[in-house]
Amino acid sequence: MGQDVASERLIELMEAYQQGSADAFDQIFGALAVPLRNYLTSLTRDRARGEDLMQETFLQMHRSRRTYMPGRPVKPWAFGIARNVYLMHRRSTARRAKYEAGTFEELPETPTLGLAELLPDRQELAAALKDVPEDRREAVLLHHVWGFSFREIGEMLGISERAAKLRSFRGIQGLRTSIKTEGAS
Amino acid sequence: MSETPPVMPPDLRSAITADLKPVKPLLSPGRRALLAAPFVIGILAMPLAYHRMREIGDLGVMLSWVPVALQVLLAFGLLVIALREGIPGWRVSTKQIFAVVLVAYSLQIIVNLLIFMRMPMDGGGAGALAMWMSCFGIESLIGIPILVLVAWMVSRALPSRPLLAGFLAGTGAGFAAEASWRMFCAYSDPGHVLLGHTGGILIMGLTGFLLGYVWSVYQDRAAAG
Repeated sequence: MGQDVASERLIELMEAYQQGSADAFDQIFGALAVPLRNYLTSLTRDRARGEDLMQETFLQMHRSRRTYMPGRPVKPWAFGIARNVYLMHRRSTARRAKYEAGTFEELPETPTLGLAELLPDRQELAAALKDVPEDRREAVLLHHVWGFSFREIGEMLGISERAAKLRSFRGIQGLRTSIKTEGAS
Repeated sequence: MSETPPVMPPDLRSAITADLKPVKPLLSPGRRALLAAPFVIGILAMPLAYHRMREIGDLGVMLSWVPVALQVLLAFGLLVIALREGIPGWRVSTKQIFAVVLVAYSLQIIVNLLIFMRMPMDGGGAGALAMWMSCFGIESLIGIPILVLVAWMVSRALPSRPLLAGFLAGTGAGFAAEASWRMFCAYSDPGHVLLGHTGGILIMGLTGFLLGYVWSVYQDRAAAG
């Protein structure tokens, strides 16, 4: 319910932003900066880069604000742009150099589905998440951390709802296995 | 415990406030495709100015206008999906896209085979290559303006899979062009149809794909500064 209200509010703010309201942009930034930064950090595995790309995402959102269609949810649109910014960054980085092995220090505050009991601490989860393949990790985080529905995830990633569900399920399975293995060792 | 939101960097704020003029949101992909429809239909009707339509009496409506209408609808569907690729966070799944592409190709091939069975007309012999080139060229002439228009519409948005968006725009334009040209080309043998007509659609899809590639390289370079 709370999420719906937030979503409705974001829609109003986005429409005001398209009309040129700076205040609406400030509020959108306040509402989306943290989740976008965390999402980008989870993709890049580098907090500083995540922060840079978050800023780039807001710039891109600004340039492309007319691509937001009034009435549609704002978060999938913003996360879609963030993903696009990340992919562009990855392509241009790949041309210059290999990926730096980053740390996965940044983790969201929200506990993931059924994992809270399994987790002694966030660092262990961070370490376990490292072992989960990128596409599955992304689906896990988008659903269990940022609360997107599988349909929204499918539309963001260009996969079917079922495939999004499967990726997330397999990601959680991998996470469980990884935590168990680390716990046993 | 919630994280404190990051402070907005001054350069980000100044970039935003320097350009805060109101913008008109893009229409939905379906509406934009409908806006383009008169132009597309005009292009599809273009051969009427230079060619005589084939004799459809023996084919009947079910092998002439009905499949043409279906193919044009599928082509519009592909163009709408291409336009939707430009809206962040609102993509169609790759599986669904390829299902539509497969249905469109299957329809085109099956209809042409049925036409051949009903009215076999050999496009082979000494002039086969010329006939093939002619159909291929005309289909491209019809399809390219549609591809250019849709590619331009997609590029005004923010496609995250530009190669796929380009491929879809090209394939949609190719199917629309083939639907139109089929009503004029009298040759129905499978060799001619596969090379001159289906091949034309494939090449249009490839052209769109290449346009998408060029666009993505340009975007990446712009992003890299």
